[in-house]
Amino acid sequence: MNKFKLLLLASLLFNTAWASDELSMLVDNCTGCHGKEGNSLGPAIPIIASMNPNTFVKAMQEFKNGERPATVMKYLAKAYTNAEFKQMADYFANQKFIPNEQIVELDRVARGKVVYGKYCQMCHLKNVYTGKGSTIIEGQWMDYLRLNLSDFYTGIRDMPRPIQLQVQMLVKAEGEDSIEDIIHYLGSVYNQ
Amino acid sequence: MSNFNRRHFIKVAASVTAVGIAGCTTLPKLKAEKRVVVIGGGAGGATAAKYIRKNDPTIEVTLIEAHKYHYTCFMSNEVIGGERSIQSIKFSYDKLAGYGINIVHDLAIEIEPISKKVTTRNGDVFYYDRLVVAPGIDFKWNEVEGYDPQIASIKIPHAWKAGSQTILLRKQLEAMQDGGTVIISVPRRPFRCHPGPYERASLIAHYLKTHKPASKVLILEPSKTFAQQKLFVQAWKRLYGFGTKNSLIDWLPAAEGGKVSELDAKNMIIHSTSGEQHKADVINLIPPQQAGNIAVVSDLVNGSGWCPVHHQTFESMRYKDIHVIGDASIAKPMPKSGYSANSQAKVCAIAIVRALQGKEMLTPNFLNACYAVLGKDYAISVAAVYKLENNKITFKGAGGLSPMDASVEVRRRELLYAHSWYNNITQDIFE
Repeated sequence: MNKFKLLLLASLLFNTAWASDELSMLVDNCTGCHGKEGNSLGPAIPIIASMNPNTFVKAMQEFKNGERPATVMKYLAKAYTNAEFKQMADYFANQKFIPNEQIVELDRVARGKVVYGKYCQMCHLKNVYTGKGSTIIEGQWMDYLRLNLSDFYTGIRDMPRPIQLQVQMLVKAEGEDSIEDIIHYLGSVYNQ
Repeated sequence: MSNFNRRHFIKVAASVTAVGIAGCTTLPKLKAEKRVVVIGGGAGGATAAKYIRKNDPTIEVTLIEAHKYHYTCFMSNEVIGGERSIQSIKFSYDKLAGYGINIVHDLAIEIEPISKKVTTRNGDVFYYDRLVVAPGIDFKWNEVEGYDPQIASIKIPHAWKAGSQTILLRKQLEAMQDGGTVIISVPRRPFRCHPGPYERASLIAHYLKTHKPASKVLILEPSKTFAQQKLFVQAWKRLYGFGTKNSLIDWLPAAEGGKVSELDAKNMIIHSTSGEQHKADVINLIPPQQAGNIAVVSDLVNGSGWCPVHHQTFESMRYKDIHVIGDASIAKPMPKSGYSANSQAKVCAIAIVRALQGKEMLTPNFLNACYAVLGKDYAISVAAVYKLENNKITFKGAGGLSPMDASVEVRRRELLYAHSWYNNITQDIFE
């Protein structure tokens, strides 16, 4: 009986390992740069754990066809098919988002929290990626956010229409510096 | 989600029955009896040990590594340039032990491929079902007259394995008077990290620019050209006055006396094969290389001094059940880099786990991403995905270099990414 149980356990383990080998072969290529289970230790390479899978696939497609500015991703994305993008996306979407402590200015955090709540939070729902919510950005690396928001703002990267409208409204009402306030707020969200 | 779980459970349950019936006769013992031994705890070996345990925790893994700490070669040029502390490139094996890896700090000195065992300097013997050999590089000392390990350890560092050699070279640069000359002698190819000597020259020039501006770096080149030459030359022109009278970097190809034949350590002179003499205050002589010693004495190398392997599994072409990964292996077109070793280790881990489970190996794919830091807010990169075709690693256009003439902002970003890359790759290897 004991023998049988152990055999059962061993088979279960083997089977689980087998089921994930193909996926491992694919996603293990990502984690060297993007961190364990997609939780980058930053500060410029983003956390991709818990990323909205649709956003993930879109990002990879944009890297692949050169629409999104990039250094190495524009090359690496060329190696994969849409089906593979989808597999990667589903894997990372199911990983827990683990933010790290970052250095922030508290007065900016306070201002940023208010502005973020007003202009961004309705889409970037906390710890959810489903529904109309986008990828989690609370707790994302500040350097990464800075680079991307700067690309959006300077027009190097095409802003999705909803973001464009919100950012225009935000800058008009609160001033350009409020973007940096938001970045400090987002960077302050740590293990909440 | 719950649907997926139920389906998944049914699939698992079905295969349990299948394996259960067949398994009664095929599994001789029920305790964890599959043993993997890994020789070498660098980027390749440490990753392989970790991922084998991750992919199948029933396999017993022993990692044999002589040193208590590992200093990464990647980013060690930042230590030499004074941009980073030696502590920041130092890693222990404590966290790997958390994966249930048996870590043995000893030197593997003999492999017996027939009885499938490894013997260490202390006389301990480790039996394996599969062996991973990840010894990195060793030097061909006899190719430069007057150079040997003793001189390297006290006066003329190679600093091509990080740690005390890195510190020695850094200290020599700090002690050098302004107006001095630093020689970097590049080995013939192939060697570990082809862009490495030029990154080093850049970061030393960066240090000299602010601290000893009348000094210079002289690169002695054994061939006509070098890796990513255009990108390096552009950076040197932008940052260090390359090509002008006051350049902080000079580069001498073979035809102009760049090919080294002899070292006169006492008088700090390097002789070239064409008869030139180069005098310097600091000499960084990087010798020609081959696979790490254990691979050489165990007959895992071919005439080139490197180890031929099947690219699907990284199993040796010379001995069964022995896999060679990282710098020691012949994996062209993949470069000899830390990231290549890490990527090959992950593929090798899957190959070993599946072999021990009696399963066919999958079609692998590999990735490499390397950064070279060339100065303040300035880095370049090379990145590629490699696939398998006709059992050979091939490059099919999914990869490339940093572009020429890139903006200041792009070069600055590459530096930010380089540092983030370092944080993540070292975690992937050691934690």
